[in-house]
Amino acid sequence: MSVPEHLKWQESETVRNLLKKQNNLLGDSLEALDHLIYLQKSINLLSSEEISRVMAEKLPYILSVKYFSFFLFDKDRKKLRLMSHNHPDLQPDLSIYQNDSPIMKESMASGRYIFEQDFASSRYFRGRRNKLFNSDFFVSIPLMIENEIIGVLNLNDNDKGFYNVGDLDFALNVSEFVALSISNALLFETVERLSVTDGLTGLDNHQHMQSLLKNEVIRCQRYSSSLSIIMMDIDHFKNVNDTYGHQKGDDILLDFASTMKKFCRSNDVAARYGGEEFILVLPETKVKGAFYIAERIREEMESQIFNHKGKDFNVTVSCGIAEFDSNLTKNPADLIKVADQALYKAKHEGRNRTVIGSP
Amino acid sequence: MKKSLHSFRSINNLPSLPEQINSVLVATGSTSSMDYNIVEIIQYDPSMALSVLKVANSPVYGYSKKISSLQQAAGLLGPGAIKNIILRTPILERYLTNHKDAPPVDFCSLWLHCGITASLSGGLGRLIGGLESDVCFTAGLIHEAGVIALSAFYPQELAEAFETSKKEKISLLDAEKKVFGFSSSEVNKELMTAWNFPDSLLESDSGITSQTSKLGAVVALAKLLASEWDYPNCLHSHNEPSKESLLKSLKITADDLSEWEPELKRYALLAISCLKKGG
Repeated sequence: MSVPEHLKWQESETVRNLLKKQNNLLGDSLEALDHLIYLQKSINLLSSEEISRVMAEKLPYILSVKYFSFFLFDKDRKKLRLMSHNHPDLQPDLSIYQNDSPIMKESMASGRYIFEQDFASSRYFRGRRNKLFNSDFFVSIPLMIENEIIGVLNLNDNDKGFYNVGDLDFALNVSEFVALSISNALLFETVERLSVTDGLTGLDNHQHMQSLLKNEVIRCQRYSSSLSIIMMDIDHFKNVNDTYGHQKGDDILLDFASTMKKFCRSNDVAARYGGEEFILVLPETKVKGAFYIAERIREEMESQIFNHKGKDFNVTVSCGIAEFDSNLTKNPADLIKVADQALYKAKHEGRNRTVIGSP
Repeated sequence: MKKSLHSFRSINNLPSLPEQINSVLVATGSTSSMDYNIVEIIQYDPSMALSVLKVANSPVYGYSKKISSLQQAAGLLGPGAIKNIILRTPILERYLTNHKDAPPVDFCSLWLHCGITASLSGGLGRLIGGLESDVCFTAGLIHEAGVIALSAFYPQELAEAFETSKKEKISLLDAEKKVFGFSSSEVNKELMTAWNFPDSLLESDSGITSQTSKLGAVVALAKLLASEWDYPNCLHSHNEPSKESLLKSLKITADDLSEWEPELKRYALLAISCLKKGG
């Protein structure tokens, strides 16, 4: 029995439509794969700032949304800090408590994405509609590395007016790549920072200071600009440790470091030279300016009252200053030597004073 | 029924001829990736070129509105991504569901016309000077994108426009405006805008009718030469500008053109041989 023509035609039409659908789905998958590969290449960076920039540029298009925001989670402070976004009006340094955003809080607490097709009628809605968004959906995806939450990715608004399961599935895949890259970059930045920082005081360490000072000396030789350094030493620090204990000694070092930072300008370098010795590198500063800064730090320390088991005591510092002289100073070691000699003189003359050295 | 020009913004890609897609798949499948230049394989296919340019100009790659040739796109995307784009190209169903409603477009001729116009535009760009040859090539290749889009997405309405054009003795562009409320030329521009194409390519399309840009005039002249050399688009769609006015706007003479003719014909033959391999 032969199949009627109209049935044959109907079946071929069905097959053709099916093939079209399959072709479209395969096409979408291929496109998603290309995007994923390219995004992975683009965010395979060691700078979180660069990753943020790439995310802001590429993520909305790749994830089929108009707006996104990515917050980093500070688990100690329970705060979310805005790291990357493409909202026109958000402050770049926005930081909020996790309690201020129920949807982000819950996505982090549960470790699962939250997808609300109509956010305004969800239990997370706090009564404030974002005027930017024309669509009602809200997606919040926690970014995790080995069960540790590192942040939250929020997705809002698109031309379609809704977010479908396929979009969400792809966004979840992308979020894993993003989490990995950001986590790598943050780890790298931490290690990099630690390698140039003094572990106790948070000031630059000796090695990093030497490298910065070397660059400053080269700059001075090339452009005949001015440069001064201040060497500082806490007076009778051994006695402080012996009398009040090393814990108190550390507190005083920390306090002194924060006093130094207080008087530092943006280009100045405050470093721990070693033990209770500190150094301030002051680019574009003549000896007169350096003397003024040294005296302010010395006076500030002198005026501070420390307390140990109900007993008040003071700590003073001595300072030695050296100014770069293109004729007499050949390298950083020459400059440090002059400052060190001036510091020795300050100690010798009775401590708690500032002495200007001469090459 | 009037359509919305805005609806074209959601189109992902345009279909190509089955023979072209097959030829590209055979070429990319039978040789190792080191043995072929992917741009050479797809360079005469307007739909594939449009898709590649669309992806290269998407915000993902960070070069929106900057990529105006396949060579630039290939450098940015790499052969793997381009192969995936080709795989995503839908097949143009020339003999549509309802045969009698299909627009009377000879797609093989249209593809040949686009390929030759591209070749000649590229050649003219090089010979005239002061223009980027590969950008001229691209502009020539994609100048009929609007017609391809209408054929693929609104075949019955396009067929109606053909009928209107014939009955009322008006140009196809005017008939399209009557049926759709806009012309294929506007569709072309809408697609290029939605796909973040560089402004130079957008201007080249308006130039075909109004000659506002040098690039547009080059494409218009190439189109005219393609028709003169028996490779018209078979659409009778445009009120073509005269050769004299094009030569004048490009500041070249008829003698220049005669002198360049053998070289331009070589370019055209190259396009024909490549496209005929596919068809």
